[in-house]
Amino acid sequence: MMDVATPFLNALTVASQTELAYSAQDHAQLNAVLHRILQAAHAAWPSIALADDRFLSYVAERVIPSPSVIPFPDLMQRLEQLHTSDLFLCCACADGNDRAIAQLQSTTFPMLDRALARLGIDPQRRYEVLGELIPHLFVADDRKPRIASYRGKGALQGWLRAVAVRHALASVPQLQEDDQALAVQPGTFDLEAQYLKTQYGPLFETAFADALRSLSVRQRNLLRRHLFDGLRIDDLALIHHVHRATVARWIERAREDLARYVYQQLSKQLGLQQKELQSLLRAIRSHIDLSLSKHLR
Amino acid sequence: MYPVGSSDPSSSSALECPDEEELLAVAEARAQPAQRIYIEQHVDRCPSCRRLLSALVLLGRSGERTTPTPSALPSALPSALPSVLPSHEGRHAPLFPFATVGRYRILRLLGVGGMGVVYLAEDPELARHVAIKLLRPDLWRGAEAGMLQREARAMARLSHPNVVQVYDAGAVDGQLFLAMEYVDGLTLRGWLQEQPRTVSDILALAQQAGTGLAAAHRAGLTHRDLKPENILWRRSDGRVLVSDFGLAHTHDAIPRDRPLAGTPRYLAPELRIGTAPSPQSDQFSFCLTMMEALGLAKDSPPHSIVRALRQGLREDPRARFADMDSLLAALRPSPNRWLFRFLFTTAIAGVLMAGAGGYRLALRDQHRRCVAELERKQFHWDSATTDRVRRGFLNTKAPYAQQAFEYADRLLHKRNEELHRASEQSCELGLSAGIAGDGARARSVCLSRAATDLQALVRILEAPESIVVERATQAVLSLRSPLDCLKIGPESSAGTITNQLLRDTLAHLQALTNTGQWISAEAGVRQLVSRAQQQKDRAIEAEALYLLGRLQWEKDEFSAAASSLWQSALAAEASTERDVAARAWLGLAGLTGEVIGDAVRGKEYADLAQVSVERLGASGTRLVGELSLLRARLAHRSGDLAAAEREAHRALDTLITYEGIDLAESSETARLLGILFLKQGQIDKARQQLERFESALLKVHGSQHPRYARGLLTVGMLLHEVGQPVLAEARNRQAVRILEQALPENSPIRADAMMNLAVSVQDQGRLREALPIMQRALAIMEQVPQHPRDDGVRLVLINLCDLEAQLVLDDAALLSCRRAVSLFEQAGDGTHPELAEALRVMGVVYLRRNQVDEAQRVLQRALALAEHGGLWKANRAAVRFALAQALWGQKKRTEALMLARQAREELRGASGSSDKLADMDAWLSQRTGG
Ligand SMILES: [Zn+2]
Repeated sequence: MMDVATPFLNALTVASQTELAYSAQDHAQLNAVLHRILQAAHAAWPSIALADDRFLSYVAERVIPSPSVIPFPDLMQRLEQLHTSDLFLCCACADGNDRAIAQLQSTTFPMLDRALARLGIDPQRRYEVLGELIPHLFVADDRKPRIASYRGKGALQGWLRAVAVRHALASVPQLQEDDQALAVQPGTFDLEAQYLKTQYGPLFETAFADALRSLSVRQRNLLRRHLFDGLRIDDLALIHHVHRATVARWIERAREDLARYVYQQLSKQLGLQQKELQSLLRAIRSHIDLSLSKHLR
Repeated sequence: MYPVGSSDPSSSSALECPDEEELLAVAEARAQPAQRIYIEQHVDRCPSCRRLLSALVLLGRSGERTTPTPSALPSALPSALPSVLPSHEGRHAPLFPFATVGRYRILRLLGVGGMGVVYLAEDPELARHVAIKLLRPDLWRGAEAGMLQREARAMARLSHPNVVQVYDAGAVDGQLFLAMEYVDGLTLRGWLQEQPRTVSDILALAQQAGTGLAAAHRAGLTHRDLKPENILWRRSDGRVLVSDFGLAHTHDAIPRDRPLAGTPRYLAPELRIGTAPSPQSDQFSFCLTMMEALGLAKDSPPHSIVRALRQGLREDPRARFADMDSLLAALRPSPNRWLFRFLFTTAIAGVLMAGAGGYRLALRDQHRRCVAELERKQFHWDSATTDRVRRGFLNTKAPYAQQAFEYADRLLHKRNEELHRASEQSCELGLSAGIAGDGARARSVCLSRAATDLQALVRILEAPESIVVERATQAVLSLRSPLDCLKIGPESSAGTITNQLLRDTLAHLQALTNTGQWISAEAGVRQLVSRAQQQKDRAIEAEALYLLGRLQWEKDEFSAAASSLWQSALAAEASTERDVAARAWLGLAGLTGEVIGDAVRGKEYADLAQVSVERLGASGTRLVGELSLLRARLAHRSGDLAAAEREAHRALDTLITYEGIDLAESSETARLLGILFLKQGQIDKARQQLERFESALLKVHGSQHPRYARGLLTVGMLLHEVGQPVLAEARNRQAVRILEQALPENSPIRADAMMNLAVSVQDQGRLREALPIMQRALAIMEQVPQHPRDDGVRLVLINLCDLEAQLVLDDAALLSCRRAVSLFEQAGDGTHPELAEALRVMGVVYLRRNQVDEAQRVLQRALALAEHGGLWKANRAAVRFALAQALWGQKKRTEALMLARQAREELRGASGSSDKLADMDAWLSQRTGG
């Protein structure tokens, strides 16, 4: 079996800027793993020509995230987990192989289009985003083409989808979001909320912004995601690795903290009667979602 | 790599966004706790990452988990590949290198845009690269496809340095494609990202892009989807081009209810509610694009620029600028404008202090409007523009470009000053009169139009073709002087209020026409006619029909031209546009009376023209001159040379007062007057007149200009007539040389020059040398496209026939003459005076062959034509003398002798023909004496 491990380790040494300690046995094991990787990649993309040493050094540059030292067993584990066949395709794309670019487009763009569609992006804009993605991914500007920053930790499809979504979101104007936020109206006409708004408008706004700052990072993100991004309690539970009941409690708590904070601020400054204060608190609570959507961008 | 454990969120909201793999790990709940905390802190500060993360969570929820990338499809490329852009609706099959679309060969994929896929391709016929857009079949179907193809054709006719040229549109397998200019460079977005740019870089780019957009607007096209991706910067020369006109598809409903939905970002607000796209909506997109670009600049833009862009971004389209030109003017720092404003304000202040009482405020308002309007429409002949025009002229490599620029510069400078002066005085007049009468408004409208017309012309001069350079001076002169506007009387009405967009389009088309770009102008003119008719704007309709008539006239479509001019005159009368009415009647009179040869109707139209011109009063001075010239031509055509001379004198006098001595002396009027002198045998006057014509041309256009060559040829002709062929030959040779440098091979005037040269060589008895020159003249003339080919060809044939006859190549001569005669007859021109010359030569040849009957027949016909007044005296005498010989041969001796004596008398009146006179004397004395 040809020795591909030595050039691979040389490339790795350059990338990690450290000499790796390993035995002859390790070397043989690495060589075997690399051969397996090569075999799988060629089988996955039979029509794409890419030199083995070029591909393996491409993998070597990506298997360790940044200049650092890792023990040999960890390296092996990482290699096993790496999506190396995806990296093979990306390497060819990064090298400007037209056939590889065409393959990547044809195998992944349908999925990207569906993903953007599900985010409510209209067909015209989807087309544009995908079109803009092509030069973005494959054309080197001053640095490397974007496709080269895929490191193979997750599946290429997922990474591409994230890139596409980021690109699509970046082109949704901020203004648009403002408009949407302002356009959110309470479901029913709320006389108290209306009163609050007209009576204490600017004062309320200031108090609310302060209140928001008084929350924790987690509370702020929870509220934004829930009220603005449209994530459900289940989604939030997933991100935070907790039970959905916990997330529900967190959100409830965050709202209440906000309302209390605003209430304290306003009552301090306004010197209202007890009865008026009760009414104010009710108004604040009913108004809070509306204001949140304005502030939590 | 993660700043784990940092408690301060502000420091840990890392500057750099986490990459997609890390966010994805969090979204898919497979991130390490430390990583999660880091991301949470980042997204608290970074809305875009938060939204991305949320979106990824949403996508994960709806079932599209990341699956391993499917590996290659079983069979080989390319057939097995699914579409590049997949999923629902009809999509493209991707094209691979060396596939063909129409005649184009695909080289590679460039990108995918909103309307389809773009490829780099090769046009094998023209050996150039083109960009091919394959349009999404699901968006362009049926009637829409037809509409797009029509629009593409309109776009293909639009040729402007700042607009990506559309070459071709077609359909392959039911899929539409466009072939367009390939621009190797960056989009505006890429250009801004490449390196930080300065405000002045960006404003310069905006001027270029805006100029392209304005040109399209003038041609009646709207962009509909202007954005940074459609503004291209060419790497090779830094030129900026706007692409994808009219391609935006507006039929997709814009989703309103989805949280992350994007709407086309640069869309004007009125388009979001379904209003039709307009130049104003393009203006919005343009301003938004530029506002964003300036936001990325190294330095910050001046307040005036921001203010102008804000105006372009106003929600109400009517509150934006009237057009791109006004916007661009506002985006251009111009010292002139400030000076102008200053002059106005001081003028107002002076009057306001002098005046008193109630209407002061009203006056000030009136005045502000007037100032604002004039300032907005102001034409600038500033140093930057001058420079651009100079460079444009020199780029054509025309040998006379420098001189042409200098003269045009002088004229435009003068017009600019006149415009300022007239504007100033007009406002003062309005003020001192105290009332904003119709006259004041008419003056203001007139000035505004004068500025628009000048500006449109300058736009064309900035990127000229050679033909434009050649015609630049004439084009400036064909516009009226702004000072004329001051002569509009107090009772004049301002005419119809006109849509400024149409007015600007008109100005552009008029400038194209005046600079000889007839083919480019025609489609636009036709479109403008129908748009004006749709909008019931009779003033514009009249102007557009007038232009259409001129263009048809250029193409020899005389009856169509007459009909257009007639309709123009009627529309002008209906809309009280007196200036247009006068011009239309003048054109109609010239066309009918001089070209078509209907003297009676020609005179009637001339009378109508006179009425219109008189109604214009002092402001119609220029047209008074044109009317005189017209009457001179009509009289010339009908053989009344004395009347023609009288009118030509009058026309020249008017021109001298209006344009100054040089321009008047170098005008067509001056030339006509010289020829009239000559035809009446007033040789000295003719010579004086024509030599002045020649030197004025030299002064105005320089020694390399085709117009100067024309002057040389005219004087050459005179010298030929007065029997100085050596001098004539020198002039003709010089003219031939100039024209060879300046004009394309197939220009009729090159054939004329060649022919005149041959004649002057022939006059000196070098017949063998003259023959190939004359044959060359014929060859050139036969290459002239369409008009005035046939007229030219028959004239050359007559001369060739004469030359061949002198060389005793009788068969060739008869052939050439017969060809000429049949061309006259085909054109229904059986009474044309030039026909007489062909017949005369034929007669001479028949005489030589002793075919006296044939000779008598053709010469009789020649004499009838000659007596009608078309021929030079000398030639008329020659016809008589030849006929006398034929009659003598027929034994009609009395008649013959009488004719010969007449001929001798006639020839005595003319000078420089002693040889011929001697011949006649000899012949007569032989017959009478013997
Ligand atoms: Zn971020």
